[in-house]
Amino acid sequence: MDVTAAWLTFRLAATTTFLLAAVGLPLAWWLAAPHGRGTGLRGLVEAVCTLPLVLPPTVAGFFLLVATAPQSVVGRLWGRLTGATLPFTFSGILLAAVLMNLPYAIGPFTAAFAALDRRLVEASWCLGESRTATILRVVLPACWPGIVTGLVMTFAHVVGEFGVVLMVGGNIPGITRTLSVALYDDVQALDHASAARTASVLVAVALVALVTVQRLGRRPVEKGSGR
Amino acid sequence: MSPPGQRLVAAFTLRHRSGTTIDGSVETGNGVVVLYGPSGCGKTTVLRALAGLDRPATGRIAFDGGPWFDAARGIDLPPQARDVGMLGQDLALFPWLDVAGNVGYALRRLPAAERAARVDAALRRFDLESLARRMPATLSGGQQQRVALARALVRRPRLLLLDEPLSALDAPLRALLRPALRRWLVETGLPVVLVTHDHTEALTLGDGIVVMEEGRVLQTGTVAEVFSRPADARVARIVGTESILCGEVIAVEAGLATVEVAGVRLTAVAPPDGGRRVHVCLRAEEVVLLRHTDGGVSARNRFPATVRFVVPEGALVRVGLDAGFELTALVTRAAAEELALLPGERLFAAVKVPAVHLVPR
Repeated sequence: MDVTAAWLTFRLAATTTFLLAAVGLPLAWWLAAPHGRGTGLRGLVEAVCTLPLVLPPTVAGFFLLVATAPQSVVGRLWGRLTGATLPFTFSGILLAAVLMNLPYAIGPFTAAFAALDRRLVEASWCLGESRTATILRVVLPACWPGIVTGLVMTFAHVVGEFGVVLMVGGNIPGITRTLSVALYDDVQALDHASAARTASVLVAVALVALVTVQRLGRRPVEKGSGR
Repeated sequence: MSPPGQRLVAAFTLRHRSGTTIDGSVETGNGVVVLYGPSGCGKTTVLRALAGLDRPATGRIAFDGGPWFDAARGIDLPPQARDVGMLGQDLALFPWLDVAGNVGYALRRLPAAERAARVDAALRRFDLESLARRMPATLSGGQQQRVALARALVRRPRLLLLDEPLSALDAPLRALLRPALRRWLVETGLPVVLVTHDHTEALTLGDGIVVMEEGRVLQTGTVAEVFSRPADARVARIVGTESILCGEVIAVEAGLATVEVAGVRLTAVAPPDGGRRVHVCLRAEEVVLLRHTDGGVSARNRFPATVRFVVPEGALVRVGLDAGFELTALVTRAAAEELALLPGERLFAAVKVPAVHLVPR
């Protein structure tokens, strides 16, 4: 198995998960607003965030490649900020992974926030706790299974991301060659033994992720105040 | 009782999501003010606006002279700055915290020793010591009620807001907890605004009352005043036409209580808990008027009364009486003519035993 590719895949998955937590949690909180869910701008944003679920990765990858080309608006801006280009770089596949995995993070986050009993939040406010303190002391304890589910799903899905990474990043060892791209290489080169090892690792990651998520789902819910 | 100055004065309008406009006019004096009216009349919305959870469109809310909300000056204090104890209908205990954790939730900033002492005192006061480590979901409705009350009071708020505090409980428990709740509320010495649609709760728990219907305040006054002398027919329909009298149980025998009201002795079915101080409730339609005591009427309670006023109300006539206490009777026009009712006339009033309703105070 390609150790360099494994390490690169891990870095990509971890960074993507971190960025999606930073962007996705506030976004999901806004999307799950008590009386605005699925209406107006919220509905549009939620639809756009879900789009990668139904879009073929190669299609998304093609558009990303065009949109981030050095002559494009995004490409020029990125070039001026960092002096580098996006296609065929780690930053490029990171951007692609973040965008492609929006639904895997936003979905569970939004579901968790929407299921939160807002009366608990109001009770905390009335007990004198600030909005920030209430998020830490009420929202997180109530919603953490959903939040962790989103993070685990995102991580696992990035590990297996193939089409969009190949389109945007190509196949550069140590820079854009992830495990799934290496697996494709192995098969092309008829090295089935190496391919089998890589594939096994990917299956294991996916299994661990699903078992974790399942356990979170089965957690005894101490809901309701006994009405 | 609350010290002078600790008064809530609120007069505002608020547009509800459903499109209706709700007018909230509430003032607390000493003790408990009940927001009373049928379900869906906007009581809860008024309470939420007082807590700072819903924002009124116009008007003012001031407490202790300081503004909490003032539409004209753009003042709107958040709930955190109003320092109220709010008890929602659903109690909203934090399911992942045990009883002690819930009660101590608001005391995070206190030193550990003081926090523990305050929590312990609150648990003792509400008889929750043995439940300190239990999770809310494992508690009975009455126990959850006490935890929620302890949690709201432990931080010593300046105003207490309660939304249908007993509605989550079943009827027998409600009857049992009503006097206890009244005692707790009086003990706090805080001004209290309490929302209820329950007639008995309003009587047992309230000092003052605000009667609401369809988002509007119809009448404000003391409980006895409003129930006995509704301002108009609408209020009368909401509160029921009833005389509310202060009485004292002087004897209980074979399930029947003898109650003294302003020197008149009445017999009634004894209430389950043996409190001496009671409200005696008499519905106007249950009061029979007689020219003589020896008329063929089986009602056990008979007493002399003087007619104070006679007001026609459709097919019926409302008769105000003075029997040492104020009493209202509702009779048909035919009966009124037969009896030749005129102010100043002396006659007898009669009430059957089951129609004398005792509410412990």
